[in-house]
Amino acid sequence: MWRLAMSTLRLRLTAFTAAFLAMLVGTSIVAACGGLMETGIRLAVPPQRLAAAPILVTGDQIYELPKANPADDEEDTESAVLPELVRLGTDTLPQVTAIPGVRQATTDRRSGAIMVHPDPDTDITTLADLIENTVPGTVTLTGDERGLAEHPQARSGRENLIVIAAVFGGTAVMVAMFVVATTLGLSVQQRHREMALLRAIGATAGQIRRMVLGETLAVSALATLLGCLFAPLLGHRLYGRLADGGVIPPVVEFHQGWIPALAAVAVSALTALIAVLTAVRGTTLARPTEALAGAAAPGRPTGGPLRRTLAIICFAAGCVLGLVSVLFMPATLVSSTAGPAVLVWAIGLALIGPTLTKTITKALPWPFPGLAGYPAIVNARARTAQMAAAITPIMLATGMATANLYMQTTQVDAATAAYTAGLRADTVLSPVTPGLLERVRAVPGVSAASEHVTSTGFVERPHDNWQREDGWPLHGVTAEGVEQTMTLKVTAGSLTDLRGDTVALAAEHARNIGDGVGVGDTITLRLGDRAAVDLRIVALLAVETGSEQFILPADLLAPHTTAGVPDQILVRAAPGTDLSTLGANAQDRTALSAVYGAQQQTQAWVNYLLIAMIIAYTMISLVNTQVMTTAQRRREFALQRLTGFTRAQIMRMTGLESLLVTAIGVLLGTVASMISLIPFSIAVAGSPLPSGPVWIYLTTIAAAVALVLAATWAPAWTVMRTRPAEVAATV
Amino acid sequence: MESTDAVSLEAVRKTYGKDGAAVEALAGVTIGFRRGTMTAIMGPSGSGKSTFLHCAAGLDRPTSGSVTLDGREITAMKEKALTRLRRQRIGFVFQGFNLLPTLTVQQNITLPLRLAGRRADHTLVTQVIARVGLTTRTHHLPGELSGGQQQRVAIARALITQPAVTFADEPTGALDTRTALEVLALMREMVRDAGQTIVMVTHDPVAASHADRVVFLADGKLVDQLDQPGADAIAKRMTHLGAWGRS
Repeated sequence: MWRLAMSTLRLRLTAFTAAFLAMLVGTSIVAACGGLMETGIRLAVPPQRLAAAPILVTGDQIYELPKANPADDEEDTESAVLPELVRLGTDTLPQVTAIPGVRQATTDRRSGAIMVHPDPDTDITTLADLIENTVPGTVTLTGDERGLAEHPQARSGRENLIVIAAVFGGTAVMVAMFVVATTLGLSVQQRHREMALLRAIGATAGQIRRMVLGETLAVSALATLLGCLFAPLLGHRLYGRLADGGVIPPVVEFHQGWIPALAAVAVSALTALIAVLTAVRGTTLARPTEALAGAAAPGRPTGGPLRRTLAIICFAAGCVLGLVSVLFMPATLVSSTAGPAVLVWAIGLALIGPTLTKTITKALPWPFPGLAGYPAIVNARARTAQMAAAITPIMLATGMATANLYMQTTQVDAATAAYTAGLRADTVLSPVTPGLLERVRAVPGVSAASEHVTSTGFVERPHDNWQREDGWPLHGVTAEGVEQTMTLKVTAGSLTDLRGDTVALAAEHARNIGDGVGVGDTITLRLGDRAAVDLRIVALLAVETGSEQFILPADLLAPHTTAGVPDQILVRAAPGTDLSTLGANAQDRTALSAVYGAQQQTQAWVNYLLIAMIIAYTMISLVNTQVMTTAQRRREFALQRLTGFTRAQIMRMTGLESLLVTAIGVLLGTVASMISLIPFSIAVAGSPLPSGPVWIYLTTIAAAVALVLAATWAPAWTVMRTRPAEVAATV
Repeated sequence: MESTDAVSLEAVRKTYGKDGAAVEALAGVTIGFRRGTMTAIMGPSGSGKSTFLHCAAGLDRPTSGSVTLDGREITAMKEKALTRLRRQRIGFVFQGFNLLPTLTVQQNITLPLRLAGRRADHTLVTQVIARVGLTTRTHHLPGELSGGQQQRVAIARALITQPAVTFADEPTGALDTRTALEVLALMREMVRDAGQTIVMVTHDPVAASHADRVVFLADGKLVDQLDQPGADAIAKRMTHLGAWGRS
């Protein structure tokens, strides 16, 4: 059977090249995403400046969120990464020096970390553990972790990296499973007659299964092996792009071990085996008498109960994801539910594809006139299974492209709009130097100025039911000037009281902290550098759900940030006021929103890259399917030419079929993408209509049409090079 | 009777569809095929020729009745046992040649042996290939052969297991007159020299005239048989059955 399988491999190049490519690219992408995730998990940041010290002692950047009931051991604790540098207390150095085994300990001025040189013959790990356990609030770093002391921002980048790797890895796994299964299923389906013949001359069902499994095993072994070899290259390139896009500091070393590769191989190989076994089942169940039938009948559309059940599960999951997007997800994270939603919808539609295609082609009037149009529509109706196979990748590609690209544009537009709406200042000055605020205020024409600094914090007491591990955005402002420079709607209290240890927050949010707090009450906030401060509430604000924030005095918040000073000064001034003499960079509103939009675009660009990669992969499947199904129709074309069709007419016929296939695919893809885009837009922008340029959609359609036509015409032309009589005479 | 018949059918019925829409393809057929003979099954389109062949060869199960092949009752056999029996005791030659396009002539011929897990006896293989006149073509692919040559490969493949009976379904249907005659002569030779048993379904009176006996089917029933008839006699009988008028 092995030899038979091998000889088949050699001669069925088209089908096996398709399967090979699908698995190779699938394995590479999945393994590369795995590599990104491994990089995030390992977080190897080799030390540079502080490399001389074997142990570095830093503040603990991990914060454990307070529980609703501290006495309840059952409740899960959530932990967060503090965004600002946690500095060590002044008493830490003597405590560390006193620990036995420490030869010398000095404080690094720039990072605040303590460099520890151990006594000779001291085990570094043991000493590191001892320091951590003896001195409260410290974390020790050894080996490749030590770079984290120099680049604490790598820690928050890690979360981004892991999330991106997980979302895109997950999508890649699903797409890979889908593409590999479709390609392999199609290649088995095409050999239906050959298998029936083998059955007739005495092959058992088991022998045929083993033959097909043998072939698949050979192809997948080669493809996944090569895929694993390519994966680190791809992963490294992707990582470079992500670092360029600011997702993670480039100081973190890219690490791709064998675990992601193993996972990718397992996913691809398992998918392949399940796909062929499912596809071959129909063949082995078929009676061998089918081999004796004169002509190969077009495959029957399969609408089995399993497919229908799976489709229903997919649609249900799609609905749930849509609801979750609208109801529960914060605007910044909504793409992580809306992204998979498209895929789930598309797969659901693909599962009922044959039935759907049949309904659509039956409902069609006769849109194509002429000699080529008649057989095109007749073929479309007769070859529903093949049609569905061709429609599926088009739907998947257009659906994913449209949904993901418009998600990005909608999100960028919404974020820029929100940023601009929140800003009343005409000009923003940065960087902030001591005394700049007073000098700005002194400039004639300036009516108001406020310092501005941002950070992230957590509510420590009373318990905040809304709090997640992302924490809350904190804005540090100056009491006199904030109302003229930022759009804040006060419902109770006054922002002019925002001096000393005070805070303003969203009114709705305040009602959900503890038993509800109001103006005059005190809450304890944990700031970004772990400092806990008791703050008196001086004002409540009306904000939209999802935009909750805390407003603090800038001079209170700024010292608790890594930079230690405000980010910028917001200025409201009469037109023509000259701020250029202040020695700070001044930007007006338009420039600001452009800069903000550009920053968002950089982030979006990273997503575009990953989306493009997955779409390109889907395209492979699209081309595969078209090439395979067209090449198979060699004999059919020959017979048509013998009955009087010219080559041009057959090309026109296949062209019309392709257009029909593309139209249905684009239609279904648009449906799948709109079903996910609408909840996304509602969640992000508050309007069901996604925003973004129309050309994205038009380009997607044009690309689909061009690809399908090319992938149909090239093989059609090739198979028609042989004289029709010769083709018809062979089997 | 049992010992001399390679295949015998006893009151075989085959019905397709259910209840109201049922179609009776075979309406109780009883017949035996003696070893070392060549029989042609003829009949108009829709007379049940193909169904008859499928049931006799164990490719399809009759609705009722029994089929005895090489002394064994096959209608009650399990699918796997039937498959084994098929590859050991039955040869097939189809109209559409039905060779695997990816295997060479020799590989196609020895395929049934390989499926059965048996080593190909080199002398036997060479002998069979020589007998069908393909000695110079053993390493060609089916696509490189003419129609007649392909059908000879199929005949060699059917004979390689030295089956108790070979079933042929319109073996000359896709061939021109001269090539058809060559193939028929080859089949005739197998029966005469190698003692093979061949059951052939055909609609061609010339092909049928090569058989020892011609059996006529109409509406799922055996209606007549002629021993060693000429092509003219067969054509005449077929005209009576309305074959030319109906198909």
